[in-house]
Amino acid sequence: MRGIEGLSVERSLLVASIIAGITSLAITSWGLYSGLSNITGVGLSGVILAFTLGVIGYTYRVPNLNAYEVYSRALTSFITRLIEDSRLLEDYTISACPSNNSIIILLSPPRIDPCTIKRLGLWAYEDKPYIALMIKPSSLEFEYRDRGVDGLIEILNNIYGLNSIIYRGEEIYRVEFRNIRGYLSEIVGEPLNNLNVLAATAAAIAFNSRVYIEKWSIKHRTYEVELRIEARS
Amino acid sequence: MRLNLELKPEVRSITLLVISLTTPVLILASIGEERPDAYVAVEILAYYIVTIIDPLIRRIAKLTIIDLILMLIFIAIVIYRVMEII
Repeated sequence: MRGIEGLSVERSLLVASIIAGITSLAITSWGLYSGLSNITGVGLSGVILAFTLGVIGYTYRVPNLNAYEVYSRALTSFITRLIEDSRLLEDYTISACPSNNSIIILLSPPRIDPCTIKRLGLWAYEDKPYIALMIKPSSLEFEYRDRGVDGLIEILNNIYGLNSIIYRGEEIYRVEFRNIRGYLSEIVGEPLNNLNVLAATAAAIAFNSRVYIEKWSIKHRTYEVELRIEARS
Repeated sequence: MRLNLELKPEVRSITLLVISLTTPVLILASIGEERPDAYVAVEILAYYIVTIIDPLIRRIAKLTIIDLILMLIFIAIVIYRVMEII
């Protein structure tokens, strides 16, 4: 959520709380040093205001996020059940293919090109089951098409509001999502979880290429996804 | 030219909280209140009143820690004042 001058609401609050905190501590110190108790009182009140703003900023969440969580939980559990029933969990890979205004996310046995998939939902390709979803990103994401790793960072951090760092290897990009808490930490065990889908979608747009999720794992509060980018033929 | 001054509900709630926490302090300072604990106690009361009247703040942020800390400070101030009288 954007706030004043492009800063998110939570970041604006944290900045405001730091400024208010420093100013209030200075006023309190001045009050104590000069023996002016009313100045000390004003300073202490400022400290409480700064602390309140800091806590709100640190724990801030978009008000309608709860509604999305309920919907996302229902959908994730449904898709996981579908994956289990189609026996895809035995050996599968997640991939993405960009097209003009959408991204195909494919969960299938390995070595199926996501760009050859024409039918969405639960289908079979050469007798192998697959699940294909179509993501329709907004025009905001497509502004970063073909921008490579810079575009990937912009989409993940500035458009999706995630806290991510990207490491470049040989043909492999490792995306680290930091500070995974609450709902996200509960669903990272699911194959088509939000972070896998968002990472694959963002990478498919930013590199305008096929993307394969090689592996993913969670360590403490950091979720790692390894992406292999493959140029379109 | 028409200015869009409509605030988002959460921004409005936070603005209301800041105004509500600042106004009593300014009033106390203007009437020459000397006791620092009076400023703090009024600030804490204003915080609880606003967050009870406007529940949106509690939906957008987790205030349990600050509730607890401010309650402890308030109790300490009350005990200090009662002990002083006794």
